[in-house]
Amino acid sequence: MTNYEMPVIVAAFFLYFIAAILSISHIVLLRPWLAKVSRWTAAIGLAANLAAAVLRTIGSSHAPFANMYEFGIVLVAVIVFGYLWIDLRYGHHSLGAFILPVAFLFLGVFLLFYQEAKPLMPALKSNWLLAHVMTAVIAYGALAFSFSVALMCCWRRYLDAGTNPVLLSLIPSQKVLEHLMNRAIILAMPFLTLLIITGAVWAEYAWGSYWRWDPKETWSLITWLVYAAYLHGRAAYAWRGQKAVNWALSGFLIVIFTFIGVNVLLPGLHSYQ
Amino acid sequence: MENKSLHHILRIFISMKTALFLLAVIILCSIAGTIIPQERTVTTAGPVFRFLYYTLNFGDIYHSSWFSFLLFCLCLNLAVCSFSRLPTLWKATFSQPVWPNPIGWQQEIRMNTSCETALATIRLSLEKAGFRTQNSQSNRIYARKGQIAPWGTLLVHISVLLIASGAFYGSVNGFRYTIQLTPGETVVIGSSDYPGAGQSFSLALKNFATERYSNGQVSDWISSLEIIQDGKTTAAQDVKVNHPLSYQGISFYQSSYTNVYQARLRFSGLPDQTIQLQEKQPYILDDQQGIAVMPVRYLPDFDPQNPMVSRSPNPVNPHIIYLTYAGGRPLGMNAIPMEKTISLPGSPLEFIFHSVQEASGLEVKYDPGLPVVFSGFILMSLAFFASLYPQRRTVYVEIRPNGNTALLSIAMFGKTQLPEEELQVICQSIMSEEENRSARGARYDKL
Repeated sequence: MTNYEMPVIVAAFFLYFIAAILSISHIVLLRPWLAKVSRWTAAIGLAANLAAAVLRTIGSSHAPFANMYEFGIVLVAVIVFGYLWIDLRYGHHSLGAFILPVAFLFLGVFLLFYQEAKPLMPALKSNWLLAHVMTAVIAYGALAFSFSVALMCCWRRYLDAGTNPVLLSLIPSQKVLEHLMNRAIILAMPFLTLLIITGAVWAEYAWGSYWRWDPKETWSLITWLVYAAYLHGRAAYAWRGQKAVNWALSGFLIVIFTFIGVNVLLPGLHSYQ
Repeated sequence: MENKSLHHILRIFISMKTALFLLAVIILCSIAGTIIPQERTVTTAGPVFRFLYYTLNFGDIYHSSWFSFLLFCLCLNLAVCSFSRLPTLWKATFSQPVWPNPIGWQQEIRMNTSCETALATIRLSLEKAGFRTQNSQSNRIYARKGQIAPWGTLLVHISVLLIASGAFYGSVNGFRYTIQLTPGETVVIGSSDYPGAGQSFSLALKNFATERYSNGQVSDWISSLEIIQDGKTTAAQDVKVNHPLSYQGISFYQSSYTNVYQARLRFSGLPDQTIQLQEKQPYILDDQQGIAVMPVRYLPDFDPQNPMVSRSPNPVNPHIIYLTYAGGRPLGMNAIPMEKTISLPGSPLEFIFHSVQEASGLEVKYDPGLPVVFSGFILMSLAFFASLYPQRRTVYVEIRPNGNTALLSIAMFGKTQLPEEELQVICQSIMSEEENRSARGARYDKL
């Protein structure tokens, strides 16, 4: 099965790339059919991505959550699924120009960490793995979405009254974008909390300690504190506009470091490479 | 005057600004702790770095007194902030509504119906949208939803305090250490210093096994443990990673494994001396000349072509990789089978590895604060959803007769970035409810 997995995930990677290019072309050339083709290409890419995850599950005899590559392909699938759902539900077709490149780049990074399917090591043989990783997928997926929308917010800011009205009609207003960004962070925060809690409970059963200040734990806490500060600032000091957007952007850069940077640069108990 | 300044200082301390400042400092210190090597011995550093590392505890930031103080300040700020907000929160949730002044009305719509019917329709529409309605007067409707949100926020803060207090209580009143046992060994788990942990008992390792998958990868380490108290076996369990044994509040975790090496020391004319060594534990033969032997790794199936990796887990060609030292410096690494003599230059002693046994590393832990911490985890998980997911909104509707129609003035309050859009949705749902009601009435008239 592993023989088929690699070509399938590479196909998903190229399909996301094409979908991203088409989506960007849509807001540059302002041709509605480009958005339609991009959506279909992303959907086929998602099907390939999910097929690769299924093949990996069959090949390894466990859910694809044991290492960064496995977790990554599920995360990218969730991001693309979330985008397609919002696109169909709310008709914000221009979002793809910002979300699909992020999904494509993420998949490219995770492909660099590709590992052959193998059985679970003793510490990972727990039902907590499923809970821990599922919460991570939802939290990080929503935060990736908030990041993409924050990027879009930055770009939207530079569009003035002289901009082509067709383009302006394609892109949600600054207020709507900021609202979407904030809702994505609000969606993510309880799952970010559950991510840390499930990890702590699992660590208690596995290693006899719910908190060891391991680099991954510490950076998860830092991520949580950054978004907690964002929520407090928003509630108490009405952080809006560019300030809120900057928090969302820097918050997700910290998420990327927690998720990828720590595994590469600060190995600890979570180094299951 | 003194009271005033004290009050001022207190107000600064419990403010949100202080909370955000403390969060920022804790974030920066946490980052520093992942960059600066923690709990290491630093020998080649300047005096300033040594001062920071040892005196200010930069070498163990997370357990330093100043970091604990920062966490304590944040908890205190949280506690005071949370409880000082309680009366306002209570009042906002349970008090009667204050009607907005006429300027506060945001939208007006007309319904082609009587005021009584309009009242019922609005009530139905708002209830369908998740609002709880109440009439303060016959021509006014006051509806709210998401009232749980600020209580959820309060509970999140309380859960943080629960987790912190449980962790503190556990660290003060609990204990933790690691033991290594070989099969057949027994150790006494003394708990006289910790009254909550019950009476002391013996822990025996009956067997230790390494299970493997078909590809040779480790599947599990299994320690068969028995608890013996007053001469009787009172508990027995196979302990694996993720499957600890708990007895009288003390838990035993499979934390590591190692090899224990039995060796003989031979000195001409004297009987052999038997010693036991752990993996990577050097045995000093001559302190003066710095001569030592250190077992590095046990290879059950030694391959001369690839000397650091065992061909299989089966004991086909058992060898030990060992390191020798002379003058305090490593001489070289070699592989040797059992019962072969190692002679070291400059030492009359000979060293012979006799056998190898797997030893189980067990973490022994007693944490009386754990139930409090876990309660905090559960509360936090639930409270976060309660705090962030419901959208707190208040809607006021005033109905005035206008001929045969009813004129509605509607206002909505809540922390939202799209107030006009949300109010528009509410108005549309009221109108669509009115259309449904009219359609139902028309059908009824036909019948």
